[in-house]
Amino acid sequence: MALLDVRNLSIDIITAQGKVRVIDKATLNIIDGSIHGLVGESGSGKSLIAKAILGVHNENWIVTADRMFLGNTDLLKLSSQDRRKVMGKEIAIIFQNPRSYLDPSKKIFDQMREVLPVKKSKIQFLNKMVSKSTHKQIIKELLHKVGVQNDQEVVRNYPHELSEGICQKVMIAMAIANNPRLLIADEPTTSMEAVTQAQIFRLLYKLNQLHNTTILLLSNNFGSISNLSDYISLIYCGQTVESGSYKQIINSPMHPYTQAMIKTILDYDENLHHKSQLYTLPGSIPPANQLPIGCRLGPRCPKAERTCVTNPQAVNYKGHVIRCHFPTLDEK
Amino acid sequence: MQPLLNINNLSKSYRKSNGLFSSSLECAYEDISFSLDKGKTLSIIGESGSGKSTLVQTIAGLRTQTCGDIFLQGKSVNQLTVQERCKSIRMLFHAPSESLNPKSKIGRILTAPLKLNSNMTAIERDAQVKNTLSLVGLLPDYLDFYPNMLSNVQQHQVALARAMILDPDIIIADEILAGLDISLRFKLINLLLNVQERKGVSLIVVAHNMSLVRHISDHIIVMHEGRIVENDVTENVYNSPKSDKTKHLLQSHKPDYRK
Repeated sequence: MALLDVRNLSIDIITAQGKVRVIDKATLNIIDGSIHGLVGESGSGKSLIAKAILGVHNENWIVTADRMFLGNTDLLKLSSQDRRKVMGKEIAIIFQNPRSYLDPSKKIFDQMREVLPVKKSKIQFLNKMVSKSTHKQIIKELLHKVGVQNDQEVVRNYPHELSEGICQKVMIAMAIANNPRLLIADEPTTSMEAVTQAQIFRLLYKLNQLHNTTILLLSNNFGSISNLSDYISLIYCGQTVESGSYKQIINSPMHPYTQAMIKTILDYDENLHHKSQLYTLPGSIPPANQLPIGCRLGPRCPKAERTCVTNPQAVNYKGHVIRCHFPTLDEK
Repeated sequence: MQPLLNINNLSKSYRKSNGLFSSSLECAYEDISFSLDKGKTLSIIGESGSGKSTLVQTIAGLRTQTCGDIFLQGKSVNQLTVQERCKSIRMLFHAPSESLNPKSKIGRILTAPLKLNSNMTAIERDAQVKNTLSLVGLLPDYLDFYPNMLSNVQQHQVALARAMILDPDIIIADEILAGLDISLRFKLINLLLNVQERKGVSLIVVAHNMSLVRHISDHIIVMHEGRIVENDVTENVYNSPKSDKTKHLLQSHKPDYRK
């Protein structure tokens, strides 16, 4: 069953130069209990999609969508107060650079306390007395869940005293405090080194396996998350180019962009000559105010032809959705 | 044959204060010895805090060592003048947007090392700047641009041009790939390989991404807490790692969730 169903999500941003369509009809279908990878290079609009789903966008964004359902609730029809209740409780988000999202002037304990679910008791003053010790216990459990062993020390520290990896773990602990149905991880491991990165990914994977948390995992590196995700969507300059299950994407990539991304996983079973030139698409990513019309990959695409100046329609091959005029179709 | 660069028992420690009156010596790295041949690539990998950056900064001449020697083509670098040293070892820094002067144009950025370190005439300098720019794949039009007008990769190209402009023997790249997208990383790697092939320059690369390191390097040094734990040819390190630290690094790079 689809937990999150987003259809034709478009985001226009009003700038001094006029309206810019940064996200063009993105479709996202996240199955309950899966890890969904959303891969795109920086500037492709992954974070914008995440923010639009959560509803934390700016006033100068125009978000339109044909359909945006979380389970059975229509997110588009909710008032902003109701939307606020969904935030954190149903959908939680963790960001990149965790240190910049934690409050630098508060200790970890006080910050984590703020996000804990409120249990209202009838007697007010009793409530206050009990809460601190119970909170301590809950926070301890949460931190253990995300693999922080020395919890006593961590809760007494300020964010700047902790390493980036620990901060990210604290962020994850805060995100799962309310048992959200969907956890959005917005590039959780950028600027971390390989060992910490593996820890964070393993933690997310465990959360998914043990607690059945649905995770939308955003990343700019196809290689690092493809192994982890059950479903993968690729996005280029605000257009979703291909999406499907892990097997479909890895075994039969149809879009030229996906094929280029798969080549970025340097696999040593293939005979790639040592120190040979690596495969990249020609050109570079266009800036958001100079996007080409039609298929935005057009000028860089090895297969581009004249029809590529019109926007391709999404075609669905048994759950493998692709937007390209000239996909590589499997003959089998 | 004599190796291009030879490092002999290099150590560095610095004084760290422990309160008001006491201080202790903290070791950044110790007993580092390795050599580098012409046209080869050496990669230094390790966790953060293992002393990689301090080591390469010492080799580039930005820091001094406590003891040990660096030999460049058989000569100790202490005997060389600063000019000779920076003519033969150049460094690429982590973020080019910070290492390029935002207030001067690309042309000025590139001619400055020539003015300071060579006796070229203005015409020769001009020719050298244009040759180097075309070597890194930029048009001469960019000479009148300021660094902030260029994209991230182009800034890296300019930084590489600045490093290559004196025809050095060794280029040190300190985590230049960390802040880039994967396809841009590939572009930069292609450029480095291309430059190495055409100019025969040696590279010392500090990096995190293990599969890219494997692709570009001939020799790998694994560091942990200031010591070399593994020093071998690339294929040996990847196929039969001897130290536990290397195994751990390799494993954390390619975790397999689908077993």
